[in-house]
Amino acid sequence: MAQTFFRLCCYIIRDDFGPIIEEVAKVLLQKGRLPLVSISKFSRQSISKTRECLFVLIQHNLVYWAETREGSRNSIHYSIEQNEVLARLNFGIYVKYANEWVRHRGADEITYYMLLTGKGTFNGFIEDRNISKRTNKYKELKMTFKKIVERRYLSPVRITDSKSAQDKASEAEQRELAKVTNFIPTKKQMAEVKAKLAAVTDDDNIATGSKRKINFDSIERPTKQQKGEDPIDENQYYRVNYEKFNAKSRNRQIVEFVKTRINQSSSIIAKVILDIIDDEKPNDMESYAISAQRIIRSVPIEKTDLFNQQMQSARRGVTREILIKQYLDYLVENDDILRKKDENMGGTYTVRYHEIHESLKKEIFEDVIMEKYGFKGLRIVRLLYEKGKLDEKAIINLTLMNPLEVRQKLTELMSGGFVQIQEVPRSADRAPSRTFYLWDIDYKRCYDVLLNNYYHTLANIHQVRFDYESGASRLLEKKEKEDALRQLNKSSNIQLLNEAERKKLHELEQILTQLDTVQLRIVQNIMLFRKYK
Amino acid sequence: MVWDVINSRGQVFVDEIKIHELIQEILPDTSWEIFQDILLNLYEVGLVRKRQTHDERYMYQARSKETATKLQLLENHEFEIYELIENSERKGISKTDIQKQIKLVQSLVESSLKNMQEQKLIKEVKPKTKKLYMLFDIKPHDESLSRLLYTNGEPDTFVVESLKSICYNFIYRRSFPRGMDEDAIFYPNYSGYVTLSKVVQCVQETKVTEIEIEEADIKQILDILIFEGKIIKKFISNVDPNSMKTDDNRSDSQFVYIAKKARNMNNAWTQAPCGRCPFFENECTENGEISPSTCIFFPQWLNKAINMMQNDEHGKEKDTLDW
Ligand code: SF4
Repeated sequence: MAQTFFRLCCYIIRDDFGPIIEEVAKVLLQKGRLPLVSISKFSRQSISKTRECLFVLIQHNLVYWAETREGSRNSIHYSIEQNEVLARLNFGIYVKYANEWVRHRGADEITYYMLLTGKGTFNGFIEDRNISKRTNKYKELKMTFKKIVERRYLSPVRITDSKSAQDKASEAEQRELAKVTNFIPTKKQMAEVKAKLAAVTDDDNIATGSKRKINFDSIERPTKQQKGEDPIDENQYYRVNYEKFNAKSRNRQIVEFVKTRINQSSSIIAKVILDIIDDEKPNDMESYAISAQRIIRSVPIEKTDLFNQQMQSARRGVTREILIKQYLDYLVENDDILRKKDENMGGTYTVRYHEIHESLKKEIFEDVIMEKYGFKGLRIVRLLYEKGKLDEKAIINLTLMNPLEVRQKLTELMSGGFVQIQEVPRSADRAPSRTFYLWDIDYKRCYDVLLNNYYHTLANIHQVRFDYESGASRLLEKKEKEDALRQLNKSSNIQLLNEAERKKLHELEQILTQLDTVQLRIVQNIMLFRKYK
Repeated sequence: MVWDVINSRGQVFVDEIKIHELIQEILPDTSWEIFQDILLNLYEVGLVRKRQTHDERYMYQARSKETATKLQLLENHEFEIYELIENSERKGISKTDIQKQIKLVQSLVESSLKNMQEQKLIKEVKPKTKKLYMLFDIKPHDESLSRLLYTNGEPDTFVVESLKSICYNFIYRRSFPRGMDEDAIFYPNYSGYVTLSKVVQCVQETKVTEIEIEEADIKQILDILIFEGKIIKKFISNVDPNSMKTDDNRSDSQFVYIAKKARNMNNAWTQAPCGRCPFFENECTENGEISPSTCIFFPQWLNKAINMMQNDEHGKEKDTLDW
């Protein structure tokens, strides 16, 4: 696991930042927290170069630093956040759906800019785009930016945010201890301080919540609002709030799941519900409850015909309200999608995120099995899943498959890492002839195997892409030069590439898009199996 | 309660640790000791049988309640014989073997066997010349395999496959309302889905085979369809809530079968070449002889995909990645 994961992380960084930064990141990934000097030594880069690389990584929220006091010297340690590295894979999805989710034009541009810079301000974005402040475009983007911030797709950052949470905690501990005593602390004192801190950290969580609010308050100054101006602090730094985007991706997958499992009408209703809830913690177990009335009000009326077409009701000519309620009940009864919480206001419903995740994972895993090992492979897998440990004989009898085929499938499944075999000797001498061989499957373990396969495949795809890119590096350079010249002279007549090269380039582009497409799909699956972390 | 849990697993031995886990799901604070007491109790009243594993654990299997009541009335030695016969499963066991293992006088063994035969606990079978004994409700080894689904002692895959498709089609037709949108569904609480007996009836009517069709056979076929994810089994309580019938004996007639539409989930792995590659697990490594850099599948796959893309561009709109 670790090796594949490490390889993938390195590739991601190479892809985005190039090989030199990769070297630096590699050291941090492998060795954990280190001071600058050691990083430079291990990565065989000069100190100044290393520092530059670290700056880039900090800017992009990948690396955190912490100051520690060693005697009279202050030393700074750096560490890399693996999850942040992996999160970069999702960027494609964020940009792709930003407009749809924020429901404002230009959201994708802003998201793209923020992702590209790691942390950025609105002014920076405007300058980057070369947009004059007097154009309509500017006004529109400002509106969008405000919406994005309000809905928490971006979150404000402070300098201290680059300190890792762990470091913050230990720092606070030191501080508290210093207050209590000047000597070596006793155990009791230690415990007291720890307890106190735990309380503080909890507070801190709330405080971060309210900190954001304070930010909004300070942004939305009443005087300004009276004037009707856009209340944005244009120089406040923001970063993309992954959680919010991930929650949205999750919702998207849920809607899609409902659509394939049941039908379009149900998925429309599911989408309405999820849009109303619009929460931002992607790994909650269950959503808060909303009333049927509210759902009914929000479902677009023009869909009623479709709804009618897609569900046979018990009686003819049911009202729209009853029809929607029937769909809701269907979602409660089937596939554990909703839960009816109580009968208040015509019934209130919650979304069962956890159950949906589990069924989604199960479906996807079983689909993998089916694609790779056929229906018969799936038969065995599901049989073992439902009945637990079984010997080969029982498997043959319960799946009604040809004994040879059963054995063959079992071996294949075992080498894929999905099923295990367990020996149960009947006699003390453990003679093979007197031993039961029981087959078993553990879905949780299978999911891990699958996730690792995804990482592995993604790393392979990256490698293939690098090969294509470096194979055509001369071509790409030439193309860049051409583009630059065109920009400079504002004319499109300059041609550095000949016809054959042009064709080659086109081919290359197609290949890269294809690789991106499949990568995007894999990333979506990875998100699911990582619980949208 | 514990018995219910074991029984719900069907006719298989279940590991005691597993049972304990299951129990704890329902009653979280059942201690191991109490649990063991219960098991011992169940064993003594004949509701479960047990078997020891090599590492000193026990596995349990449920016996039916009727059997247990009968077993209660047996003498100790009779019970021992019963267990012997029970453990011989479908092979059966001969009288001499019983005698050897139990070490009782012949007459005693004979009278016990006779007694149990009368109570319909065991029966005598004569596959060839030797008389064998086995439990009353078990089919002897040779007959035990369904005549319909097996030929020469092996599952007859041809028969299985054709029965599968008959059953699936039948269930499919009754799972979705007709004459409506192709994705239409029935309202919640709809109770007209098919039951096992309906499927059996349907298969009988098709007259695919001369061999008598038994419910158990069809049930097995349906189980396979469930394993393949083509249908689901659902419990529907069509017991009228007003009548005082309790539904603790969920008979099969209350289970209905519903077809699932064949739609594939978006599993991205097998769409990429690596997901189908025989070298993926071991051989293909970063700098190995087989590696993504030397891979022969990627170029093939890319070419195919690009050709498709081009065709699409000429044809209708491009197939977007909209999931
Ligand atoms: S050989 Fe090619 S297809 Fe196979 S695992 Fe390696 S990169 Fe993937």
